[in-house]
Amino acid sequence: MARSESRRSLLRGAFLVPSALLKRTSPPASPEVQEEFPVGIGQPQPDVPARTLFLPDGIPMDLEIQPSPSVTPFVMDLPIPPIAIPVRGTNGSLETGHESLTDPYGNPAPKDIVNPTPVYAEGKPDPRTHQQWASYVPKKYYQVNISQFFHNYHDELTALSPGGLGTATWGYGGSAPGPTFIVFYGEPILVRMANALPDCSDPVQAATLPPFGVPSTSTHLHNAHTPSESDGFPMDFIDPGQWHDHHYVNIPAGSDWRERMTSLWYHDHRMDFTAPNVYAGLTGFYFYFDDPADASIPDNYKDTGDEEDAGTLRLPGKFVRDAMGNVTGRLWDIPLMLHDVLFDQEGQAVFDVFNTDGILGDRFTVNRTVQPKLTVERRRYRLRIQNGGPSRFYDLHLTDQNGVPIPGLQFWVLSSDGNLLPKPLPKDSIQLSVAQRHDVIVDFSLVPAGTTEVYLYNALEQIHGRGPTGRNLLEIDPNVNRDALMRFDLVAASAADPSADPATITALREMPDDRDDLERLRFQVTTATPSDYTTDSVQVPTVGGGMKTLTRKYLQWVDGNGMTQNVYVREFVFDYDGGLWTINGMAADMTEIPIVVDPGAHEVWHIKNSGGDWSHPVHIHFEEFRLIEFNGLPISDDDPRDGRKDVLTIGPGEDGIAFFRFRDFEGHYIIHCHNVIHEDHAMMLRWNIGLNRDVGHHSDPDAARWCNGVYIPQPVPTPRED
Amino acid sequence: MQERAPQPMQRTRRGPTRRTALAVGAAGAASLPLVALWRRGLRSRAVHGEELPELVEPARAGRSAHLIPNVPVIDHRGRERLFYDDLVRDRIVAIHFFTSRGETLYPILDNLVRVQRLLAHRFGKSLFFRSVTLDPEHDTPERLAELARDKGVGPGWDFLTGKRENLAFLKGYLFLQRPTLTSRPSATPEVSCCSGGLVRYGNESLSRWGSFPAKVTPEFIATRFQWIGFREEDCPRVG
Ligand SMILES: [Cu+2]
Repeated sequence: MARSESRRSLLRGAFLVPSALLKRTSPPASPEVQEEFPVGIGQPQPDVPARTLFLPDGIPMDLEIQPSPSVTPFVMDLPIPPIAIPVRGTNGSLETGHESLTDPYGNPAPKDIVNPTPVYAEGKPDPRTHQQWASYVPKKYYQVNISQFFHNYHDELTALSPGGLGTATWGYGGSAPGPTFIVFYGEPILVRMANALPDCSDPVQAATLPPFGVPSTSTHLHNAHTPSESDGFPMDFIDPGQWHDHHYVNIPAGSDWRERMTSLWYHDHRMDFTAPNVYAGLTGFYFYFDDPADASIPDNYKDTGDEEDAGTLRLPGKFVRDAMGNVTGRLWDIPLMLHDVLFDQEGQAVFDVFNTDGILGDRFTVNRTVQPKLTVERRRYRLRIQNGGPSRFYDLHLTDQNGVPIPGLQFWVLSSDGNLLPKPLPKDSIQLSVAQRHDVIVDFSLVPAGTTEVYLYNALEQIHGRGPTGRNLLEIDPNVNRDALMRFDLVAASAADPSADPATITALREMPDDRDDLERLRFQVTTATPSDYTTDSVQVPTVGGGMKTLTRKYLQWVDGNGMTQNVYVREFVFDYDGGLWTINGMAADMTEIPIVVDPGAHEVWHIKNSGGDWSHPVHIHFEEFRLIEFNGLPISDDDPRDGRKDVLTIGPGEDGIAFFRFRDFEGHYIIHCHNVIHEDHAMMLRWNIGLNRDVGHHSDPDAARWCNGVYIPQPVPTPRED
Repeated sequence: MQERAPQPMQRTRRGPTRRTALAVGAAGAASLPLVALWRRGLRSRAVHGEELPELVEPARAGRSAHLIPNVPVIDHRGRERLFYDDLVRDRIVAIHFFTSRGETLYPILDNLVRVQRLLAHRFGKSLFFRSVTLDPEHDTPERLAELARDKGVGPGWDFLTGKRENLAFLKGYLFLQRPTLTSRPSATPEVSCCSGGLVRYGNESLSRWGSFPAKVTPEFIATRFQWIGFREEDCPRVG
């Protein structure tokens, strides 16, 4: 007992208090008195009475029974995540930064048996564990420690927390969101992710953990064209005291400049625990730019990051650098990471570990701050808006304080997911399912002089984690306090705006394939009969040392260059079975390789939602796809999905057809629902490019590698001979 | 209609136990050190009309006390156990729901038995499985004992039955899933279990809880217990 009490007092004094110790302040609401129809998407603020609906099954809306404490919106300043700073070698140069990568934990057990001898002793990366290292030797090295700390989501929440310390949070590099990576195409980097979270095996450390997630991480750079060993595969996790080197090659797919991307994000992808770990704070940004001196892309398509670079795209933004030349910030270019969070009465994040529908929060946060404000000049800004999840969908509008859209003020959509669109698209609203993102230009100089506040308003009603209802709150009952994510406070411009007017940008990015060629492919795929296909098969290893035969089918398509290509056609049905979210009836099993893609293959993936009342934002790792059909129709050129995408959102009964080329690297990747609750409840499949890069990695079907100290029969993996 | 489950036998835990029939909004609820009280009250009401579960205040609240309802259940040896106090607290456990009749339609026990074989040396010492039936009228302790024998279930794995409202409440608490618009009422509700494919696993003392699909490769399941602190010293109680 004494031990238990001392632990408890330790928690009180220095760390967070487990939710179990909390006392209710009021009894649970009774369903009999709750008759009103729901409009609650954000949580009612003090001036708005609570509204509650009990669904026909009697289950109350998650958020309205124990809502977060009320806090005042639009008083916190929007924080901008710090820029990641590379390490320099002893001679001060970035290219020798690997000399300075530190191993602060002393015991960097190699997680990769390709190199069973720990040559990591000096803390240097091991080229032998990375694909094509010699072709893409890192020019910069970063080390990011993943740790637990107290975060200020809002002064009023922090004031409620034990000791006034804030919300227990996990983050990269000591911040949430983590540091923003500024990278240039053609400049490979190495990022060492080191897990410095509290260790479960130490009772004192373990007692400080928030009551969800596991302190074990696998960092995925979302949408990047990354070799499999660096991709953040769910099983490639590191525990406290371990680190993993991520070799980000920073080449466009196929070394085709048209495949260059803009705004990416990184987040945790730990097997079974992605949702709680991301919820705890593990997200950050990763932005690509083009080097002004780079000859491999036409100047007029370059996004150099400087709005004054004549002859380039001149998107809003400018670098701020320190005396060493390190980028330390960006002007006029604002990253906005959206998460909805539920807090308890002591300001700690609440996560329901037994909810498999999806997790909703009742506090909108931007860059992990509840409903912040940002002062902006009356000029053009680039906003990079990222839905960080875990389960909420957004429909964003720009309104005044009454929730009335501001005439003439639009989002000029530059990108959909990672890649630039063929041209900027003016939109009154933008839709973001989980993990989706848009870069937009908003021209605040167009706001009428008498209007000094602009709200980023979410109009999409969502009352449970499975997906939105589709109702538009702006039309029903606008309320900025409840539904706005943040406020922009307008001031006069300090100087003339040198950035390009998006209305004048007619060519933002070229597409690798003409619409006509893809339309031919769509016609072929959707009208094909069984006799149009050729089949082949591939042998894959299974646990226990066996082999399994996979059958595949393809048809032939003549691409835009007149080349005949074998296009493999596959179907992915997203469904629900026995409490599990499933794909093709299968639940996530990383020892199973149900899909093998040949290196360099062309493929068409038909992705279907067979469900009646839920939505799935489907994410495919490694290669972006081109959407060639949605619900039976081709994609129009004013649809933001008419670019390249890495998330395909399929609502109830919807389906889409995605076209891929799988280039440059091999190994283990995944397809999964990015409602991360669905993902953690098994809506994920492993697929492979080839079978030669897995032996010796965590992703080896040899599960014994994952379970030190626990006896498991050790099969011998049998790679396919090519 | 099958015969009712036998009346609870003698308690295995000494001392009087206070039971709280938890009505919606009942003042007595405040004495439970639980965060998610609403879900207990409202969900049990929704599922069972006026039949309320027999919630018992835990003898000692560990770190997951607010997550795991402490209701009386009966194991396949005929002993009455309190689900949280006797079966989960201070342990690493896997918990799932099933019916013996449903096993023919949606078999999962055989795969979990394979997991048990892989980890046999830890079962009953630092790892425990809890298989809860949702068909108590049919799945009596005797039937469950027979099933456990047939499957080769060893120490550390309890098949559990009990009062229907207690079992259904447990299930509603551990598997918060809304009915789907497309799901049809089962013609044989007593043998179907809409969450049968999903197993919760956790470390009570660390409050780490995750889920795995019951049907995936046994080796893949077996690795998971290490992720949540699978060590002998984490699980001092042998049940
Ligand atoms: Cu989903």
